[in-house]
Amino acid sequence: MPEDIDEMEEVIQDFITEAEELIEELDENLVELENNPKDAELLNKIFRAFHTIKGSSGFLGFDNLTSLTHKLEDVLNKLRKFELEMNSTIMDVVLAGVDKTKLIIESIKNGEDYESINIDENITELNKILEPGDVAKNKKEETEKNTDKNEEAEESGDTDNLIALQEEEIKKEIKQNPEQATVGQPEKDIDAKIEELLRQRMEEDRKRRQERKIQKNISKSTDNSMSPAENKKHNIVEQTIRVDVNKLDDLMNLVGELVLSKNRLLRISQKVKEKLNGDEVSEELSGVASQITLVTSDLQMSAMKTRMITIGKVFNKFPRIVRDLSKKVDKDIDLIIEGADAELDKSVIEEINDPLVHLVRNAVDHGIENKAEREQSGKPLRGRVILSSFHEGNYIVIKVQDDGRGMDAGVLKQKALEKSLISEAEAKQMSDQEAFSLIFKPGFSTAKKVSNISGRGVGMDVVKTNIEKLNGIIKVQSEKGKGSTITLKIPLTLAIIQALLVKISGEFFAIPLVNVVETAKITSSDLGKVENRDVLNLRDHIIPIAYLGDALGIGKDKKVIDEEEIYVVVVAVAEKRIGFVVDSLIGREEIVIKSLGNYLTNIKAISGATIMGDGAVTLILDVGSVVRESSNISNKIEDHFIRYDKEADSVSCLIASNNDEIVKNISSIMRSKDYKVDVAKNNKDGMNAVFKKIYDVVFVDLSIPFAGGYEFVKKLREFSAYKKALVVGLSKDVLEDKEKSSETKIDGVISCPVGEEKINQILMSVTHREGRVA
Amino acid sequence: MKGEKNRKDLNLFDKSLTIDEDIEIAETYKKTENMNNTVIIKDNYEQIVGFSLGNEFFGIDILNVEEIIKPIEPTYVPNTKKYLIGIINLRGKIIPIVDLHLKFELDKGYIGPESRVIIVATKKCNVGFLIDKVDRVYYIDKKSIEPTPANVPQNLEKYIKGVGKLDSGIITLLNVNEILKDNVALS
Repeated sequence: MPEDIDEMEEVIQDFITEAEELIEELDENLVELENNPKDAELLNKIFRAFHTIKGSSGFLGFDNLTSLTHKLEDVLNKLRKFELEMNSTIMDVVLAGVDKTKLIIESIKNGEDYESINIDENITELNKILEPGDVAKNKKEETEKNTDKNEEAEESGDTDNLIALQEEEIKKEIKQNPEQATVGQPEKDIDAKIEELLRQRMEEDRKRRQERKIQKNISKSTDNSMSPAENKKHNIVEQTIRVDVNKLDDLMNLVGELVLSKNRLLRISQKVKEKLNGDEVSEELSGVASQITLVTSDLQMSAMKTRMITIGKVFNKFPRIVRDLSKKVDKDIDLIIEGADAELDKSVIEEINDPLVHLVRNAVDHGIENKAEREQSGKPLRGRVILSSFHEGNYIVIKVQDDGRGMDAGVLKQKALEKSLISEAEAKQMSDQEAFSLIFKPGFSTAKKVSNISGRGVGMDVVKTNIEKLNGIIKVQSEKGKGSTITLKIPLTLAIIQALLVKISGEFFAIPLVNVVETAKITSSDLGKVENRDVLNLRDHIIPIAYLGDALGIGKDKKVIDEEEIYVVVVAVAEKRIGFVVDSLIGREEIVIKSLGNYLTNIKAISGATIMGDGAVTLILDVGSVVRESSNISNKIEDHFIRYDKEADSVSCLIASNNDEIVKNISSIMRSKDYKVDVAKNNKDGMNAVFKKIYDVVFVDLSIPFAGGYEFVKKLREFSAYKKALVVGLSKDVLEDKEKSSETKIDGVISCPVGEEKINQILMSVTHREGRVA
Repeated sequence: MKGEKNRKDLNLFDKSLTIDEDIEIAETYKKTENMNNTVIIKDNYEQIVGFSLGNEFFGIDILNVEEIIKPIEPTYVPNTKKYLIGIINLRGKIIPIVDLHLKFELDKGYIGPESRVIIVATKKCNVGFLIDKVDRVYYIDKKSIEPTPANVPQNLEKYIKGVGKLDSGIITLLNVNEILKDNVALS
């Protein structure tokens, strides 16, 4: 069973790592204890450390280590209860014990014969501390310990030597502890004593062997364990170093920076290629750029891998959980684990444990029917729970599958109605898929009775919250009578992600791609209403829909959507699906998540920021939060449709300038022509203004902050309502700006201050150009 | 002793400000030396970066100032208070920008050619303050710093450390930590 050996090896490896860490701490703590012998906290800490090592080593069958740490634990137990007082003698003995522990662990690590390490001396010393008078007990303990060795000998078929070995050992024991022999035991009785002990021990051994055989059978049936005799033969040599997680984080950050720079380089090389097509330098640059791209993504992958742990780490404890649970509920259940070698980030592993426990518990408790039921429905008596995982792109998919009774959408709806978690109308609208998602509502449970396993309606909420935290999605599939499958899709790492860039009210936002189910282009006729809320009918699925700007709180009064061309991003978070309308879709990009820092904490709907190839900052949406916000939106999508039909007889203009003189100059002229005048003092205000209203004329100061008028015009022209509007640049240096303006779509550039005549001229000239202004 | 003082000076002057503080400081030195005929003891003086905001004159401890940059277009962050005008990318770092006009509820200024962003650094975070014009670095005698006068509007009081006297008038010294304590997120 080669797989088992591997598994065992991993368990032992973990044990060694843990023990080493504990011992390292122990050394420190013990030294500290010497200075503060009455520190209860410290004593407890040391006690716990010994206890932990004892527990794990006992489980793994490192018997001498177990008995040594057991004694140490006893001493510490007395110390922490203040039945004993710490003194230098005790400390010396304890430290000697720790040193021996180290020695044993070291030899386990190196695959040496750890059992040959003699701990008798330490035990005796420790016993002396524990019970200074009682030697008999001392001896008994000793005897018990040594049996193990004999057992092993016997197990390996060495029966003939057994008695001789034991005899010799007992003699040795007494020789080693001469004080034992002298206390109340005349010399001549030794032989008799030996014989008696021998008999006792043979008896004990036989009993124990039997016990062990039974245990072995059990552990074989759960096929997750092996006897210590077998694992001893196996050498455990693995080349690893332990690295501070912070260092890995730093490394990851640096790689992140590199990815950003790489994106930038790519963009520049693209630009150069466009400008100097076919040029040698451009070719060379793009060659270097792609080389760097390659190396960077490899580096990124390697850096990511250093933080990766196999999911087996989480999976491995499920056989035990399922075994215990199925016993409790009296069901026969096989747990099948697949893909335990899939790797994912350490931080993700930590979060994923709890949800999985809940899901597996649910499968065992609710999913799988009891034996009678299974027999009735003609299913095999043994139920099956399959826990599997695999990679899919930058995500890991984890499935918890059972062949139980499945879920009944009708029953779920009924339950939800009873608990008034949904309304009658909602229930009617609900698809089966949505009904299954009801199980994630807090307070929802289909179990008739609350057991100590499940039924309180909390578990699924935990699943949902944790998966949401990881930006993952949950999918529930179920067929009545056949079983259910719950699928989790989680990003492998939290630092560098794929994202969909969208534009909302002129701003870019990044939506983590893991949350994006699909994108669609629809028209207003695809929209519908349920209870006065917008819904989208997408291939016979009804999903709620809202303008993303409203969910972000930036959509008010903005008219930015073309009725004939509505872009929708369907996002999923945990079990929820919702469609968000955006101004436009930009594309997919690999982004590095940066925190907004300590000043900007708890910002609703935003989880972080990233830096784009051109150096601009783009915000990353916290999809979970946005989806929550979207339930409070009162605005309708049609509120955001661009209205081309204007109020009759009214003309308006926008002056975008931070120069009071210019604003005064132009507004007085325009007002005299019966134009309504609005003023914006920077790019941002300007864009906000044009989103709310379609102006007939826009005057743009070409030196407007922050980025200047050209940037403003560029953005303006990207907005479909302003493809044809009249845009006039205001400049101090007309000659220079005229040249630049030919590249952007500015209809004319005038110098300020300006006279009425010039403005008339511009207005006229443009009006004459056919098709430019309606 | 003297060597040590010089080294200290060098460190202090090493801040790459866009203004010629060296000359100014040298002048301040000369003046004081002439008057008192003694050597200035640095510990008695605070170095303050002076700037204007509307018609008012403010100062920030130089130890809080990391650098001063020209305004660049920030990325707007939804669900934040109005005075947070956005975040910028400063050499790979995300820096939030606070418009001090809006923060102090002064007349709404606008960005002109002399507008600057002072990047302040505290233990907690780095933040940029958008202000109208950077003046220069002042040496202010600690003894001349007075507590906040009574006529300061209530909403500003907690942000003010005290008021320093200059030849040209007074300078209001800001408590950067206090300004950054406020929660910017909208609930």
